[in-house]
Formats: sequence, structure tokens, C-alpha cells
Amino acid sequence: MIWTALTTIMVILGLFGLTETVYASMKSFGIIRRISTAGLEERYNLEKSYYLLSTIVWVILLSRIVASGVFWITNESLIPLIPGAMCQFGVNQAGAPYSWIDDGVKLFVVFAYGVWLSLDLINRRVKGGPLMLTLSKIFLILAPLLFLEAFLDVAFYVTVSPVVVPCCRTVFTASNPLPCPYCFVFHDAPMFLVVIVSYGLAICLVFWSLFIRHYSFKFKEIADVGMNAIRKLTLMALGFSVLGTIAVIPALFQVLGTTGFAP
Amino acid sequence: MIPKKTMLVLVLIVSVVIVSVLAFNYLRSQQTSLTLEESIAITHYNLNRKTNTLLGVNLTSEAVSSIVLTSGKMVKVQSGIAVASNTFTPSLTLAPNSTIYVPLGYSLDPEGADYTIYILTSKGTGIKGTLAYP
Repeated sequence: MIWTALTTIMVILGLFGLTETVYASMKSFGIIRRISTAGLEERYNLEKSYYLLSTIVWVILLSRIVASGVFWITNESLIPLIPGAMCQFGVNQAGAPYSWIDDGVKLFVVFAYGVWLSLDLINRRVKGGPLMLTLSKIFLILAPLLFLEAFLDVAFYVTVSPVVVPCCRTVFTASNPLPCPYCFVFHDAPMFLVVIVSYGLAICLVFWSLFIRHYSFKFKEIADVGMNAIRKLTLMALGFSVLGTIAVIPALFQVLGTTGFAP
Repeated sequence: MIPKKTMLVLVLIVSVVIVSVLAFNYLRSQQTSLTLEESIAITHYNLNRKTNTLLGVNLTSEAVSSIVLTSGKMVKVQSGIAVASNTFTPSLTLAPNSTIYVPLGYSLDPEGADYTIYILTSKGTGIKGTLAYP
């Protein structure tokens, strides 16, 4: 392991995620198992139990979302510490195979976790918590992803070592039509980061609103709150996509600006 | 049915992705369509490894006529982006069968990378060289 403040934070967040996911999964499973046969009093107790679960899941998911952002910063900080690494491609080579899988998983975790968070926000605003069972089930579906993501973080940062690695210049040569995504986005055209993050969030917000729409049709109790949330989410999505479109102009200038080949 | 605003977001994203891909392809086609001077070559790279700078290059001509050099560019191979450029003021003239030193002063990635150096002429042609750093 390469001990730095950031790798330590990532390992701690990973271990926290692993333990809390196990605990929350058991609690969630308990609610699903008992709710169908519960009487009035037990249902009230289950509701209280669900609010505890909900709080724990919020902490887990938010910590994982923070870890998803810190992940890229940590990898960038490891480049000078790994001989031969010129960009995050080299860092991933040093932490293979966990690093490569982790990279792929990190690209859509915010989208997946956001589905649960947005539905839970609506559930909290409606009396009786009609989505309690649905959210417990969704959490059980998310749990393997949470577990995998946290495990990959721990495995990657514990196994990564300062070995000599071949970097992207072995793959992305002059004859390769594609650029190295890490060199392109993180080093030479960083404005594209703003574009990617803005559009990524816009796509997430759109999909979350579609999920809320689906459940608003299914559970009439949440229809009003759901429609209000959809309006807010789509407006935010529009805002992020406009921000991404504005950012794409300087980003394109970063790529094209100095490259005229006229005499 | 997808709501109007959602549709607008998706259309915006798709159109910007298309524009970005077209822009990158335009950049690549500009680099590949450049006519190269066959009789002139970059024969030496003057590097300062302490400051990670390409100070300049030597150009050697075997051509029969002189040529005017107007500007220089450095494209990072791994990203395909021109990371540095400069215009020679006044422009430099390379006499036939001679060598000239062209000052550049381009910063190089201290972690290392491959670069393609282009020296452009007043005729719209170029002299190309490759540099693997460090």
C-alpha cells in the first residue's frame, strides 16, 4: 500500500461502507420479511425501524458519493509516486485488476444511489411512508453494488504499490485514433471535466425523475409530492445541461484553440 | 411519453457530444492532411531536463531552395491536443543544404509523454518530428 492522506481516507471510507452495508442489509431484510404480516403496532415499530435504516443508508450513500469524487483525486495524486505512470492509466496498471473494475463501477454509482435517495426524500414528505417496503427492497438490490464498490476501493488501495508500470504510451500511440481518456480529460483539456460532470448530473437527474414518475403512477399517495419533485429535478437537469453546454465552448477552444495548421 | 424539459436535456447532451466528436475529428484531420517537407528534417532536440523544457530544435535542409519558417506546434500524442505553439517573429529562413536552430521553449510533462513537433512554413507545408520524453 502507498500510504498518503488520501489513500488512507479512501480505505477508511471503504471499510466504513462495507460494515454499514452489512448492517443496513440485515435491517432492510428484517423489514421486508415482517411487514406483510405486521399488525398496527408492529407496523408502527417497523416504521421507526425504517427511519433508522433510512438515516444509516443516507450516511452510507453520501459517504460513497463523496468517495466516488475523492477516488479520482486520489488516483491523480498517486501518479508521481508510481514509477512509469504518466496519468491515471499507469496508476490503474499498478492496482490492476481491482482498479479497472473500480473505475467502471464508479462511473454509474451516483446514478444508482441517487434513485434511492430521491425516492426516500419523497417518502419522508408523505404521511405513513408508503414507499417503506419498496425502498427496503431497492436497498437490498443496491447492497451488492455498494458492497462491491467499497470492497474494490479497499482492495485497490491496499494492493497498489510503487512498482514500475507501462503507461498509456504503450496503448495510445500516434497510430491509435483514440486519445488516452485520462491524459485528455485530466491533463490537457480539463474543461471537459466540467462538461462531463454537468452532463452526467443532468442525465442522473433525468433518470431519477423518470423513476419518481414511475412510482408516482404506482402509489397515488405520493403523486402530488412526486410531481413537484419531478418539476424540480428536470429544472435542475436543464440547469446542469445548460452549464455543460456553456462549458463545452472553452473546452473546445482548449482542444482546437492553438491547433491551426495554417501558415 | 417523455416530458418536454427532459427531452430538451437529452437533445442538448446528444448534440454537444456530436459537436465534440466532430471537433476532435477535425483536429485530427488537420494534422494528418498537412503536407510534409520531405527534404527537411528535425535532426536534434535541445532539451533542458531540469526544467522539463524543449528549448529548440535543429532543422537540416537538403532542399535546393530556401524556405521560410513561420511557426511551431507541439502535439501530445496521447491526447491528440496541441499543448504548445509559437510564432517566429521575425520568421526564420532556412537556406538550402544548411542547418538552422529553431528556438521553441515548450514545457514538457515531467511524468513523460510522446510528442509530435510541427514546424510550419510560409507555403502551408510542415516539418514533422517525434519526441519521446523523458
